[in-house]
Amino acid sequence: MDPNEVRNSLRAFVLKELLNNPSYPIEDDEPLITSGLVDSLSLALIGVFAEESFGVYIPDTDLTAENLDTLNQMVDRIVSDGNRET
Amino acid sequence: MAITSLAFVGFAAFVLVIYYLLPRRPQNYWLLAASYAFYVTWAWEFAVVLTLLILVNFGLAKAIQGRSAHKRLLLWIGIGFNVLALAFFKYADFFVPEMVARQQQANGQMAGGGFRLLLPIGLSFMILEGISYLVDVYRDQVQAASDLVDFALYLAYFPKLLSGPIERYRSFSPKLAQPRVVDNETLARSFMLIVVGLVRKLVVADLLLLLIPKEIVLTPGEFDASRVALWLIAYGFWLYNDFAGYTSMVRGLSGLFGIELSPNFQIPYFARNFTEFWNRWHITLSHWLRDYIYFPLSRALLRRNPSRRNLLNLILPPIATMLISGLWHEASLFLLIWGALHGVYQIVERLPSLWRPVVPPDKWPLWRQGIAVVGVVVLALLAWIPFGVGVSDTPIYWRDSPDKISSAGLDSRLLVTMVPGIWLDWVQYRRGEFAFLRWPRLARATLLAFAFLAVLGALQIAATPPPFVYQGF
Repeated sequence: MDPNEVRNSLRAFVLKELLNNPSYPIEDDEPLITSGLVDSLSLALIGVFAEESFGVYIPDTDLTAENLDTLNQMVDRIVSDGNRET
Repeated sequence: MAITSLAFVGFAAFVLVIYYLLPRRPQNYWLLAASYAFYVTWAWEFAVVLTLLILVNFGLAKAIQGRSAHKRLLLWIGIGFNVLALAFFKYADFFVPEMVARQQQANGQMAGGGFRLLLPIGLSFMILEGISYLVDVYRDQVQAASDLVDFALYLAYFPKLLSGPIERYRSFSPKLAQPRVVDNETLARSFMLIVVGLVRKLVVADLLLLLIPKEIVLTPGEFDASRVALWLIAYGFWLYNDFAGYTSMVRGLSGLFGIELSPNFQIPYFARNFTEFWNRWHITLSHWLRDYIYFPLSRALLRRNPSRRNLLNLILPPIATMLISGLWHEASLFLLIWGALHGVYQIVERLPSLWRPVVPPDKWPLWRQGIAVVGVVVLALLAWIPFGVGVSDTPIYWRDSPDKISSAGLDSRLLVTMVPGIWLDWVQYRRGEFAFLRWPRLARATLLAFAFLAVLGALQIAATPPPFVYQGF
């Protein structure tokens, strides 16, 4: 799984579907959950997006700010779980 | 044995002394024995229920891990057992005395007395811990416990037995397996948590409870609006400081055993929306509900229609989650109303994000953050009216609530009593939970002396501290 591909896809999804703001200058290390940008409904959507786009299931108990607060953390998780499953 | 009693202080000191004389493995046996001894001081029957819960969850988790063919069925049996146990004690406690009273009335006897089921203290918290354990084993997120004593301690550990925090087995069990390190920093943090907890409970919460006049609940029409509003604010501060005080004390106590418990409060009255509020208020319950109710339901719906704008996705998960939260607190209509209100708050605050760009609260102008904080506090307080007044009296409360506003007759003692609580929140909000430990030595000593005097003074006024509000759950 290519991390850059995952990052670009995830970034586009977050900006368009979750933030309603395609021009928002999102940083790779910017806190999304702890800052209040991503709420619990958006977090559930990220879980479903990871399942449907990359075939990676992130358990409900792992959908937390500790694990997935930044774009970098999300990409790392999806790539490492994806590589483990393949 | 109330944890604010002198008897408990002696008990905890005795347990601590023996604990540190033992090697690590027997320490867990000792903690379990102490936990049972503590629980039996409330009622010996509670220990029977606790043992049953421990054995059933321990056995079922092993079976779930071992049998892949019947895993799902076993999980549902386990969830059903826990939910039924909770429902049995909570609902039976509600219905049995009523049925006995009716039977006595029919027989021409005086109502009262008769058979009454006791709700084991802390049962609601243990049930959630049991369910999360079974689900996590089912999902292969944690290995089923191999040691019955360690698992029993997960449910029975006495500092968290009465009212949480609600721990997860996968984060709690490693703490039982590792050597206990209580260095100077841990000691300082633990004592600070205990002192802050005592001040919140004894100085703020208990005195507020004494000062809130009962008539203002029963006949609000006899008071002007300012007094009713002040009562509501005091009620909100009492509830918060009572539970936050309890959590702070038990976290501090557990720290002395070298076992860290999860935080449960993070200055909730500074939240700028209800999503933030529920990440700051009774955090371990909020996160349990999020992980085991909200996310599974939300994801199931989103798989069918992956859009934030879908009405069902937007409405059903928060409403269902908050209704279950209400039912978990108590099988009563007023807590269902409270839950429904909080569900509605969360739905409404999400609506603008469906068509407008999302801006994080930190980037809002300060005036908007201030208004949002006040708005969240006011709405949270309004949701507590059925909690404090009761459902049948809530409409009367609203109907009779006065419209004239006057500052005459306002009880300034209520305001003064809230000050230490507000100040603690402000310092911790600005500088972090352990800010006081970074103060110069003289300032810390002065603060400690003030806290000591305030606690002694409060005990002179309220010699027998009332039980914690969440102790009934």
